Amino acid sequence: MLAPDAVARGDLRARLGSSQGVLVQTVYLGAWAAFTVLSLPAGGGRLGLDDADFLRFGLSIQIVAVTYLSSAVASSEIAAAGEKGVADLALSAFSPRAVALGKLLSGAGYAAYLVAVGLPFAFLSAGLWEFPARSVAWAAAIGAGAGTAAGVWGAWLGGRVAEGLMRGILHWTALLVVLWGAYTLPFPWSLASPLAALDLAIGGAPSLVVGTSVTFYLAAAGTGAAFVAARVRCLRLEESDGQG
Amino acid sequence: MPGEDCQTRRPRPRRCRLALLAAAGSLVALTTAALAPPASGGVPTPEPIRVVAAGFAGLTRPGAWTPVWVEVSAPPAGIDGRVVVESTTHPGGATVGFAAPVRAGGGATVRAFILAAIYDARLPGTVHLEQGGRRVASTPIPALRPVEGVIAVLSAAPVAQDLRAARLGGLDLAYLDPELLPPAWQAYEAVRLLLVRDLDERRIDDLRRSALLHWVWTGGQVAAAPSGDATAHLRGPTVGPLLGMAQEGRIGRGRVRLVSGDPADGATLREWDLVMRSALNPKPASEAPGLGEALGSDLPVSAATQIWVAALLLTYVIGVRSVSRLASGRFPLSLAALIIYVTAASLVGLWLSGVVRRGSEGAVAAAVVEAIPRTDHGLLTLAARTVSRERGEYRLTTSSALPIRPVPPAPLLIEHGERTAVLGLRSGILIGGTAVIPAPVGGTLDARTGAVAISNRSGRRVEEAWLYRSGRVQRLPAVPAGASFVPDEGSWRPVGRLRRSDVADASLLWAFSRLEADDILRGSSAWIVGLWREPSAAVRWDGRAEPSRSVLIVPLVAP
Repeated sequence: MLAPDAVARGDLRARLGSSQGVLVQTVYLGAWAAFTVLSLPAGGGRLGLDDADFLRFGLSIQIVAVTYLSSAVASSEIAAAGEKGVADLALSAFSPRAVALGKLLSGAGYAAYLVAVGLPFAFLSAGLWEFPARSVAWAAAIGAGAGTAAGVWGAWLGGRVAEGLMRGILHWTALLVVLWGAYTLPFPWSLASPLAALDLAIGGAPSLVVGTSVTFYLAAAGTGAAFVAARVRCLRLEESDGQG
Repeated sequence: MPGEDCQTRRPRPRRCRLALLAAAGSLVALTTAALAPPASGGVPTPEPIRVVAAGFAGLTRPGAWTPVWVEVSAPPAGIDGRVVVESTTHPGGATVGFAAPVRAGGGATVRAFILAAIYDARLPGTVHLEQGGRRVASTPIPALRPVEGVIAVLSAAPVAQDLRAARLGGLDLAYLDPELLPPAWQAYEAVRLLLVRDLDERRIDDLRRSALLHWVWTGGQVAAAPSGDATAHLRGPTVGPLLGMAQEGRIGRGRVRLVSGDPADGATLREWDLVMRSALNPKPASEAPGLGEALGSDLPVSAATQIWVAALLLTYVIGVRSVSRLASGRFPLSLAALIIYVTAASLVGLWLSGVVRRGSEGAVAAAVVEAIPRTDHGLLTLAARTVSRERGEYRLTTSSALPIRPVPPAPLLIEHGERTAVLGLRSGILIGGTAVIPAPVGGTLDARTGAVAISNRSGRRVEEAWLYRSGRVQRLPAVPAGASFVPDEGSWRPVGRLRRSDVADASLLWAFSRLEADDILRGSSAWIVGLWREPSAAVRWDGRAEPSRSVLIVPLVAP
């Protein structure tokens, strides 16, 4: 278990400690802070949102941001200095399984970190706008689950497509498909989108339904880890074929 | 015994069955005696509360202020509580409570007056007696008869033909005992005309006389007539001053008429016809229409609070940068630091949300004071909207002279006591009330010279003063104690072209628009409109004074 731990620690060190990683968090939290201040009741709130809109809008921003940042950093769309991608790790001594588990852990850790640092905003909004605590808790779980899956699949995409522009197009397409495309599908297929799961959580859907969608994201993350491991094996085969 | 044949059992003897019946009867009798209230030596125990009268002789206009008289018989320990009239709009609809304090020594019987709005005349509601937050007795209000309006009559004998013409207009006559005249002028809301034919002055006190006068000032109509040869009541302390004050039959917005003969007297038929015709016209609305709708529905958080929130959030974001770098180092330590930092920040976030929420809860209020010419008084109208985050009960208080009710009906409890208190839970409820207050401000307009003279003996400045005439306005300097001037013809501006930025307060624009539309004010051709501070219009929210500024409207009359 030391090898995956080393991969994950390396990733998290780069994402949290590098100047790019810190800048990403500053922008993420700064945007949320600006939204919170602009939404304070001032003659209806400068953004003109009512309580229900604020709840939906604020938590949606958090989930979209966590999903995007997790996948963008893992796929190297946002380059965190010092982070090793799947292609780099394929050349290391780590086993494919260790790389895959490491990426899974770093994806989960980073998503959980982004959700955690956003908690003060969530609590401020919850207290101010009388959010049910249940909605905030489910939003955190959905964000962390979706962010983990996005992180792992982002890592796979980074190892699969080497060319930056094509990788960027595929990344954004995948995000649109998952966040918006799946959202338009009928229930229960719409639960593939974390935004649809959030709607259900806010609407007071049974915990079983929302919990199932979170489990689905974690299963997607596990599947992504399997794909990462397969990709590492492929890269090693290609490398050995090239040397041969 | 197992296997015993039931058919072989011996029948019970007849004597045994009779004994069993007797025992059962005794048991029933004993139980009934135990459950029955204890007898009090043959003296009947008085009911704790009894509705003496509701409405005007059982008549009411649904939704209007209605007088309710309740007799409270105190228990031996005395009572210090309140009487609550609960009125429901319809079965299953909103219930509004109107309460008045009641205090009496042991065994005493007191009569309490409750000013209540009755929404459903046929199911008027219930009266409760409460002490120490506990309901000790309840009784239903007998069904009332809904009418368009009431002609209240003070007369020992029936009025001729019961003024048949009035009945045709949806009005009905209510013969009142002088003791049941309401002590609050607002309670006359359903009354179109008070006819005084005879009156025993010993049965009416100064409080009721004052309420009657205020009602007339605000638009009430009184007709006084002799009763045969008896005319003493026309010179008494109730009707006499009204007749003395009237100029061409008018006092303030109201009217007082002396009819020279009895309604039965054919010679005065034309006079009575005139009185009845004016009674058929609805009393002018005393509450400022549209004022509540002009109120905002939210309370802005103060700029200082917004700056504080922004500064704390910025501090947090900067702090996260350091924590993030720390978290990239030694993991167990950094994880602990992260948890501590986020937990502390979350607690601050929760605290901050409470501060902001409290700052954005309260009442959005606006008040209008319309000076009543030649009375040194004004009609105060208050409209307020509750803004709460629905966390527990709020308490809104106003002056005791200002009875409040929700418009439209909403679930609230309104206490009319030393202060008027409104207890509720829901946000967005519009409440309103009117009062007659001292307002020694007046003005005249000389139609020939166009000169305006203003007299202000209130000791308060009228700020942001505007002169309004025929849809045009011009700004005036602050109105001092007394001023006389001729308006500058070049300074007039059409009201329609005024923008929100042209006036210091949006309620001034509301006042200008009302002056054109409001029939009440058509008696004058020009008005002074300005802002001033009216202590009676002050609103407190959970003990905190809410910012309030009133619009003052002074009709300019002929000198």
